[in-house]
Amino acid sequence: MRLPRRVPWANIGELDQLCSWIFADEGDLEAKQFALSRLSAWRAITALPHALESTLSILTARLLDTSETTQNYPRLSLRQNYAAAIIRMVNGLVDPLQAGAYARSIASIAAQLGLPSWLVELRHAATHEDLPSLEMLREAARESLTWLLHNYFYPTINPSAPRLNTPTPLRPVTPLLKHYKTLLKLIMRDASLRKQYQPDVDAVLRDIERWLAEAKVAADFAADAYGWDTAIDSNDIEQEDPRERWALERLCDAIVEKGALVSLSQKRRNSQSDEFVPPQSSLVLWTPLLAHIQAYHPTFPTILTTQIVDSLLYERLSTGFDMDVVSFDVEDSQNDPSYHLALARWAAWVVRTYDNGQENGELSLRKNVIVLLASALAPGKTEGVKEFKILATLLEAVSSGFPELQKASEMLLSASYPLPLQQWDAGDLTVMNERLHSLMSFGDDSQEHMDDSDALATTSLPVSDRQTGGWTLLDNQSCWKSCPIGIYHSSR
Amino acid sequence: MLSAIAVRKAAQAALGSSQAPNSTQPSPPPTPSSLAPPPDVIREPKRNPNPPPSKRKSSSTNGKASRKSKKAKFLSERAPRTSRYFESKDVFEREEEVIMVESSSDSESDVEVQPVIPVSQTSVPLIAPAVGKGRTWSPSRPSSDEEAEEGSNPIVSMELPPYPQPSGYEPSQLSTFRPTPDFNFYDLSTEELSAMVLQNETSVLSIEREETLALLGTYALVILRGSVSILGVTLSASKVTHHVFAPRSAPIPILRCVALDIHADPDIHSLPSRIRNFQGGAVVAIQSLDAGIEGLGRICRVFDGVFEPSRWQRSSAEVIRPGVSLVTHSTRDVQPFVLPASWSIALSAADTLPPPEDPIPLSVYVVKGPKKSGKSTFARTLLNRLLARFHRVAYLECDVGQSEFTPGGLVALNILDSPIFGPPFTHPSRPYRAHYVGATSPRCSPAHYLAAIQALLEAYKLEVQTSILDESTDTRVTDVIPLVVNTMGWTKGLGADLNAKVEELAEPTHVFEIIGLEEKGWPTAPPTYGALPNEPAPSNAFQYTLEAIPPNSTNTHFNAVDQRNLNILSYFHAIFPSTLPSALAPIRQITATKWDTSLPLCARYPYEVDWSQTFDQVILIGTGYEDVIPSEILTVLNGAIVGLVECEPGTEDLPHPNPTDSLQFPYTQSRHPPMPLTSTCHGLALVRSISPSSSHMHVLTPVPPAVLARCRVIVKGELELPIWGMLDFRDANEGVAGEEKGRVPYLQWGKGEGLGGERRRVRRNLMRKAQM
Repeated sequence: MRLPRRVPWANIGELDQLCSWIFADEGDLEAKQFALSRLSAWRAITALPHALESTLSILTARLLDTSETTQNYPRLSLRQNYAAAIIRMVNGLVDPLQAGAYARSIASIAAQLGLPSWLVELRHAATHEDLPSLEMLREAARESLTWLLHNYFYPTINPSAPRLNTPTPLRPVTPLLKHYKTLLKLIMRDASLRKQYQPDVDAVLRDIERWLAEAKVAADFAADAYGWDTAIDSNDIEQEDPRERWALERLCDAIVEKGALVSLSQKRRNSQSDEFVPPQSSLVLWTPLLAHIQAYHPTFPTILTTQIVDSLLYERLSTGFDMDVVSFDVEDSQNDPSYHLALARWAAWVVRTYDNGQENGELSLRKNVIVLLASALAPGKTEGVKEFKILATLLEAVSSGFPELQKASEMLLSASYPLPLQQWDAGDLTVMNERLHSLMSFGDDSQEHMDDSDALATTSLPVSDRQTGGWTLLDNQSCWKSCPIGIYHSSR
Repeated sequence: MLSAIAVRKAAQAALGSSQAPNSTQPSPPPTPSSLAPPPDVIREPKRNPNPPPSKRKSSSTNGKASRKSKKAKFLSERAPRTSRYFESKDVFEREEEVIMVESSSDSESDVEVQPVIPVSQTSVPLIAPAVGKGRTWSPSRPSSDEEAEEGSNPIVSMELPPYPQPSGYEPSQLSTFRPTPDFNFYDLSTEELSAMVLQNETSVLSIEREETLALLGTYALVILRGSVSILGVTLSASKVTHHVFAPRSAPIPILRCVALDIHADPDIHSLPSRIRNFQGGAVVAIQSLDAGIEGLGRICRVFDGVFEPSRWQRSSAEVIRPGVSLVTHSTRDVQPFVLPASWSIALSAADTLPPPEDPIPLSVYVVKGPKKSGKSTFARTLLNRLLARFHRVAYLECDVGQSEFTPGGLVALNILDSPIFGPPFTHPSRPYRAHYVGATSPRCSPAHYLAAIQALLEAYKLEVQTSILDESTDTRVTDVIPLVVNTMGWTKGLGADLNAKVEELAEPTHVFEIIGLEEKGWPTAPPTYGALPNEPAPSNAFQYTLEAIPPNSTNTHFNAVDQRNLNILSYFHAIFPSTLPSALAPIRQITATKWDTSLPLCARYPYEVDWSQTFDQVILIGTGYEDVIPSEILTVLNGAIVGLVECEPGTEDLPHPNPTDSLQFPYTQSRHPPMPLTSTCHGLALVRSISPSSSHMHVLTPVPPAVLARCRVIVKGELELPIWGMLDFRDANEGVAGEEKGRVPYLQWGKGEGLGGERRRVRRNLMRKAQM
């Protein structure tokens, strides 16, 4: 269940009104004062979205600048006011997008956001160098407000309207993977080169990590990104970040492509052994990368196996996002049994390697794969499934060693024939009637229970207690009825 | 700053070495000697003539020794692994560490790849595979610990094994007791029960000497024969019914027989003859407790089914009574309560009776330590232990983030007369006196926080400490009420200064300091340069150093925010026992034992209040709240949580009523909070709605009506109603009280459009270039 987010406005119309106070008429100082008061009040209701927090401080600085009474103050206080507002705005926009393990430059994140780069420079100057001139700061304040109008207010008030700024597309990750592969192959051929190339390998792993960070930012723009949880009440809520999930999925897309996990050469895809594992050469090649990603992203094994199983089950769909996953291979992948077999073996390997049977309210890695497979292999559903045999083998491989799971899988696989049609029996009607009856009576019980509790809330207090010193406890005698918190329903 | 990764890695490495002894032997059964320790144990913590520079050294030697041994273990564990780095020869000799190409079976002709590489070197020496799913490093979850950032543990570099083997979780046995009907488990008949003055629907369990019993759920416990230890407390046979709340979200209590208390009356209950009483064993009665608290799981879904065995455990768990199940083994989401050895020694020393000729001393116990170190668990255990000796014990809560008896945001003085078994949300209580700080940290108003604590300590000393009680029905001490002070877990920077000040104000006789061991991932203490100017004056208190609980024993599924939310929701759904309308504040415990969770908050009948008659003023306390102008005050109050404060008449300046606008709430900008010396906060209320046209508002509060009229000041702080509290669990479509979900005020579903739509988030675990 996705929790809604707490917002300070009762309805979006209030935000619209605020927006028009601020932006409708540049010279209407009274309206700006209204906006300031309202924003200050909202701040006391709940923590404001960063964009509104910034709007509040920039507006405050501008009102000070235009106020008659402050004309005799040193201009330094004005410059400090503006500078603080702009520094905090840029930092607050960029900081949450520091999504990777390693710091990215603020300029690169700002570019991805479409924030004017000179604002970033100004932030730097205001923080570490001389405080910028009043002229520059006024211009920056104006520019910032415009940016907020286009990037926060418009999209929030009209969620369906097309976005003005198109984001810079995410660079493809495939070249990075290719580079990694080349390096590792070099090392594998000649172990003495390891020392020489180790820094390069480290660098490419970092680069992939950085790409993931960029992808997380890009997830904000992605059409198919999730309606994610907003940070509820705090930053440290322990929930899976949908942006991370999206980024990892895009990475897995590239990893699952031919030429990555699965070698281009058909001969080298699968070793002849009966063991359901990827060939040793591929293992040596890819294990460092997989382990590296997994170390930073605990959900990676789950996502990788899900993506593999999905690609085995369904036709590949385009991601719907303008990231070019350049195919290593133009050859039609739909009918390529050895590719599918190799992928399935990788899935089995990932499960065997990373599953720890741990279930924190979610399915374990192993069970997740089984559930995915089971829904596709369920009796009566198998017609459209390609590569039935590979899937069945994968299911067996994944469940082997776990008696309960094994039993379930065997049952599933053996039951892949249609159920016999049940004959209609005259007694069936009575059975159905009985069931209906028991259902109905259950409803009665719960109804009674509700009534009881209503009564309890009101009758537990003696009448004299219900009305003390201006406090009147409402009851079913009043006209009050339940309504959301924040809506007033008169008791008369 | 090396961020959480290093810390966590160190923790992970240390876990292997340190976890085993802890989990395999839960709390050592208190022996008679620990109940009445020999003199040398009592004398162990010496009164220290000049503590400040050598405070830690002078502390209990036991704590120190255990610290050392832990370290030694940790090192020995790591030693062989490190040495492998240098003995490269060894690597090649060990075949299982080398991946060979299957050259014999490989018919393929290509020789492109010839990997004969020890995998211990192929792997990039980075980070141990993060197998635990709990809190591995993740960029999107900034470290929640806002103070623990300076930790500078060295990176423990570990190689990746070729196949990262998941570290198997070793479950430990929780219950050795296996119920066998009519052997050690009895369902009594109505006649038998009424003969024993027990309620219906009771199961009687006969526990053998060595047996343990772990129950999940909510139950009433009566000790019929013998003595039982539970959560570090020994209960002897008596007529008293104890309420035990054992959800999965907290370490669950283990019942265990202990040697018979000599004072206990062995025949207080006349048992039917068919009940077997094992030699040295105990007989207990278990009843279901129909408190309604399980319903909180429907309201705050994070805690759904938290009183039942988890899905993965249902098969092995055995239902003893409805809502009470026996758990045989620990799992990751069911952890037992473990009393560390150093705790047990400190507790025994602290609750030892003085020689009979001495007057009973006035004792003040201060508990301090970093977050998640088990501080409040220790304080609760200490409280329960003291209740065995004293008729009443006072408890001063200084941790406004995770309070024991109240929702957060309150500094409160509570008085307890019966032990409490359960996590904080299972015993919301009305404080004897409290002050509303309004936030989950005193960071914004440290002066007010200290003034509030000072006022409570004064109230304790003047009104509580030595009150004469008429009732003397039991053997416990009645004329002295000792005090337990729980300090906050913010132990760095300003937090450390505040805690030092609190300690100074409290004038403790005993100080318990919990130290997180560095090897277990606790941050190191920052180096101190010279004497600190604000070092507390030398005190004469007994000093005890305790080890922190192992990091894995706190359940990682429920974080601090969830717990805080649950505390607030539990409070608003609680039903407090109605008190006598006595003018004198009663010195007795008022703890909720029932919860009304049948309806969500939005559907409960509220109080209707005419604010122009009922309230003298509203005060806002919080950063930046001084900018709220009077015409916006009702906007701010709608849907807000407020503190209900009673002020002594004449002590607060009232705002001048605005004659032109009768619909103007009495409010003045940038008002100071009510003076703690002359006010008290009786509880919290939720302003569920405000009339746009009249001076009425609707308010929800569990505070009894008799008290409400006295609260003429309301204070709004930063505390908010959790989102769970605004929802309606009855509606499957996420609507609220008949309103569809898009039209519910103050809530927005779906992804926030626009940039900057989220609250500011702070990352403190970024790696900079130097760390790459």
